[in-house]
Amino acid sequence: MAAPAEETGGWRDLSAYFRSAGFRFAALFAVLFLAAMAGFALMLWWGTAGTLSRQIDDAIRADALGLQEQWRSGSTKAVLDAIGERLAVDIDDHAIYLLTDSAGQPLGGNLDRWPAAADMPGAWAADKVRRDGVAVPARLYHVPLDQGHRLLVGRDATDREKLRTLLSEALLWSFAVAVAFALAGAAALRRALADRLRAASLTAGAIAAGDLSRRVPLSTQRDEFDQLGESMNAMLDRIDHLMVGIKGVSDSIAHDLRTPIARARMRLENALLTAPDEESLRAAMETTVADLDGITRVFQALLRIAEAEAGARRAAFAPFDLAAVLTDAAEVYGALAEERGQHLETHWPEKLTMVGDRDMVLQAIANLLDNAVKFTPEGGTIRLTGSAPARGRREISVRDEGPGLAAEDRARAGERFFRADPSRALPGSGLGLSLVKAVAALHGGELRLGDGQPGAARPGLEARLMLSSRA
Amino acid sequence: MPWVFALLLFAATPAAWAQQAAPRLISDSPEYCAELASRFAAIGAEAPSHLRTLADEGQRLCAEGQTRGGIAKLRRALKEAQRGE
Repeated sequence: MAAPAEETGGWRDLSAYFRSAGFRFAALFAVLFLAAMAGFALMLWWGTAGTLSRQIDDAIRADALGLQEQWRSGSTKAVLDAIGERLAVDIDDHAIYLLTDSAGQPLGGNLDRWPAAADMPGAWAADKVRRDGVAVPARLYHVPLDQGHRLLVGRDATDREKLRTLLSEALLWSFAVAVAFALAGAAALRRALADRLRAASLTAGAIAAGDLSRRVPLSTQRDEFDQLGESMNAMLDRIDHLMVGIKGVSDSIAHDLRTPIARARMRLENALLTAPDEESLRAAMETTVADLDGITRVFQALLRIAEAEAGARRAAFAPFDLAAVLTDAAEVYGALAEERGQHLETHWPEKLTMVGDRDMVLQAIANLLDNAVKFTPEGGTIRLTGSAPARGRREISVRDEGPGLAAEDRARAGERFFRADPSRALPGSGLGLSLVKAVAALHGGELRLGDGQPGAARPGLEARLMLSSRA
Repeated sequence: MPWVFALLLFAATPAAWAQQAAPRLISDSPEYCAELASRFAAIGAEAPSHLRTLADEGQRLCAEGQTRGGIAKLRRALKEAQRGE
């Protein structure tokens, strides 16, 4: 019972072999090679046997025309004399002539009777004629004359047939050799392809098995396979980076949420054990609820970032006026800045239309303004601007007069839960710029951070949110 | 065995019949050789001696039964003689 199963496996292998890209490339190579050979054979045939055939036909046609002229200008005797003279000097002994009368009786020439194959007037015919009792091929042309006379002009085509036979045999052998070369070349090509792809295939297999550290080995040839390998390696590096990022986020979530949850638990426990009265207990519970609200906000921010990064909200993209969004944000944060003794300066055109997610863009601007208000000292100025720097581009800039960010901190500013040292004392979750960065990416743009006043003692921070207005 | 011969005869007949049915070239006959000799004789008096020798040799070959060889020599002699004219 094992035999059929093996056969099935064998057929499956054979089928997979025929469906493989290597086999198909090799087959294409073989077909192209054989097509080139066929083209070469055709040209060779056309240039030799074809040329000889055309030369024979041209000679017959010229001969026939000459005799036709003789017929028109002279008499039967003139044609017969011309035929006789031509036959008399036909050293190669290839010429064939026959002139018959209206009854079909031969009047002159070197053929004993009219061949049946050349009955059609004005047509060419290929027939056999006997020479010394042996049938030889002949090319014949039937020239109809007036008064029922007929003229046959032809040539012995033995040499042409011999050349054709020789050429056919040579081409047949060449074709057999070409087929052998094509098959051998195809097999070599298939093997070379399989060898070059093996490294990538083994790497992909190892990665599928869980070894993410493997990379495609590159050769020194810098060919298409190396380019594929480089792309695969870049993709794997990116996946690796994302995996590290995800792990970092998981660790950060665990770390950053453990503290407030533990604090809330401790506060409740202390209140239960030590609260002197109902009012103290209520106050402790209210504080705990506020802490838990903070945790909920962190989760909401994380979900919004994930949503933006996944592009899930792209379906909700619609045209909106960015100027109106900036006005809304300025109203809320202008009041907040005033409360803190700060001044909010604004500037944008009357209309700044774009396509995108209005709520997400508003959230991003709010996060930037929130940071600016948080870090700008009392009496400082916050500048909010909006513009269209180029066709299809929108830019929102928020500049504060805070302590600014060191270059190394700017590079990490978009990471989840990252907080620069000066800001650790202030409230916040370290998710604000992560969301801004995700919103920028969602709208085909980016977030750029720089000094608000380069060279100043307190350089401040300028956050530039670049967006595509067409999304 | 007779039926084997009959079968072979039957198989061979169409090819043999076709060969027999083909028209025959008559420019390799002794008569044609004589015609070429008379053509050369008509112009041969002024022909160079080597061409006359060639024509004589052609006639001799025809007389000995080597008609095609004789005809070829006579034709060459005629062509050369015409060219000389």
